[in-house]
Amino acid sequence: MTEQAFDLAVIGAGPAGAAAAIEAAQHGLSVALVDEQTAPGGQVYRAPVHSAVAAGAEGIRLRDRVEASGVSHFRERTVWHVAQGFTVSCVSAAGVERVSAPRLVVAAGTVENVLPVPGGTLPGVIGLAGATILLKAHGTIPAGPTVVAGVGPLVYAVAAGILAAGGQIAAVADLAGPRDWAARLPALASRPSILAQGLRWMAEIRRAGVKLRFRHTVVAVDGKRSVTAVLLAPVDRTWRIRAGREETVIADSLAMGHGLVPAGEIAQALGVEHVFRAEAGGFVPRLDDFQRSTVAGLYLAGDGAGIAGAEAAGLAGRLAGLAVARDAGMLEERAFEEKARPVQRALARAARFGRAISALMAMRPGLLDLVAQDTVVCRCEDLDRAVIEGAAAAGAQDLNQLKSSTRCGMGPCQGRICGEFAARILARHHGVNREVIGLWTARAPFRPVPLDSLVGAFEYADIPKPTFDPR
Amino acid sequence: MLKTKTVAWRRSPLLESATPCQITVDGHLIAAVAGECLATALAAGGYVALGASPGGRIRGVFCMMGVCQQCVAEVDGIIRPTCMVVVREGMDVRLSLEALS
Ligand code: FES
Repeated sequence: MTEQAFDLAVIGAGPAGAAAAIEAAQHGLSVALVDEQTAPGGQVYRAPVHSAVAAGAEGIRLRDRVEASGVSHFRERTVWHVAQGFTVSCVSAAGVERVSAPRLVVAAGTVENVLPVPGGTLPGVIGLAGATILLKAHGTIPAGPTVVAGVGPLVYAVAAGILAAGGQIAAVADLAGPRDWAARLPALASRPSILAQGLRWMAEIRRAGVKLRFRHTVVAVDGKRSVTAVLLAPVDRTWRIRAGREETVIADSLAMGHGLVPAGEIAQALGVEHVFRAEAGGFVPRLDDFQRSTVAGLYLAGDGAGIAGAEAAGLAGRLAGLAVARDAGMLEERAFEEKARPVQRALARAARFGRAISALMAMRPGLLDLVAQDTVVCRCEDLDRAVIEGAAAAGAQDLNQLKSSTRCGMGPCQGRICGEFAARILARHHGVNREVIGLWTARAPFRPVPLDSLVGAFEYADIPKPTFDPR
Repeated sequence: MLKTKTVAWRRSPLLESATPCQITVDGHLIAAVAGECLATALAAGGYVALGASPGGRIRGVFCMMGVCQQCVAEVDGIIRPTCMVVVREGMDVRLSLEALS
């Protein structure tokens, strides 16, 4: 196993991580940028996997800048453990390796919530974020009629993207209504170009004659071996369905997403103090004004530190990079303050926009009523809502107690997919706020790792749970 | 058989005409594009059911970003999320559909 030492390690090569790495490198630090993908960009500027797929302009610019920065890019590395101080253990096709540095920036991004509905586990149902990856990274679209549903700008981005690529949209169902969007208009108008793009998507969807349903949700998915139809229904202001007005849409694909949650497990495992901020997606790390966490030498940036959008992520990453340079003695206090101030101001403006979108997407209570008792919530272990309610009735007060009594969250996704809904079901059962339920205790391995790649490279406490055996 | 008759996903024309290759899925040869995503190649080849969950339900691609692990298959002898695998000529893919049929 190889181990390489740097002045700074950065986990995640999306807009935040890339910006932090570049900024630190510009101040003379040696930087390792560790990422899961084949090229920088994160999910938002995800690079095409194949060169025949056209890349977006922002992604190209970001990749060019990383390329020119002198940063050592560790691509296609899955981070499975991070030790204090800091040592990042990753695994790739080439085997196991370690990157160590006295300073660490974590820019881990988010995971998407997807409402568990009857039939929602059928092949043909994908997340909205996943659908954008299909379009951006893989130049691929669903071949048949597709329903796009959920909440937030991705609903329109995906529907318009599929149409532009020659696909067929059977219906678009947005949980938000025109009035919800209008209420955010002042904040959205602070970014006219993004607002204009959103309006363009909407116009393209209307022009294509697509059924556009505001304040509607997916209620159920029909099909035996894959999706054959999607049931939609109107919702009220709390997203509770208005019964008796369901509509069946024939489709063989469904892309749906219900908001984003910061991926906090690495920071949590390293002991960073977290606070609950609903408008930022839930539990977020406590940070100072320069992205420093409560653990010395550990900085966080981007949506993984609180949802604020891609533009804010890039600025927060720059700020973290500046703070790293200052703390490493490569930037004098005066120069640091001069450089940081304008970035902080721009970040505050960009974050205002991002938070307005995040607030629009924040889950409303009625949505949980759609999760039937026999609907699978935890896909890894096939646990339905009734199992979670049963555990709650038997005394499970938080996610860890739920996990130990039901195995919910113990499968190979480690609760990333179902955690938010499982927590909300517990909270509803006990009549408490979401934050009371807490999070799963984060521990390595952060991703399933083939056991043979760990031989000789782990301590006893790091032995992973069994990897997913599909048989 | 759980192979659907029609393609589930469709490649863009440029990708469709890129360097072709062949991969084996449960012993059957299917056409794919060298360098594309394996999950995409499978869906374009009509494979949407990729295996069974512990409870015996059909599972397939869901998150497309290596998180959910619903898309895993045995690729050249190692269980991997197919959404994170890049297709190479001669790749040997084994789904675990027996539990479903
Ligand atoms: S589809 Fe979720 S890991 Fe591949």
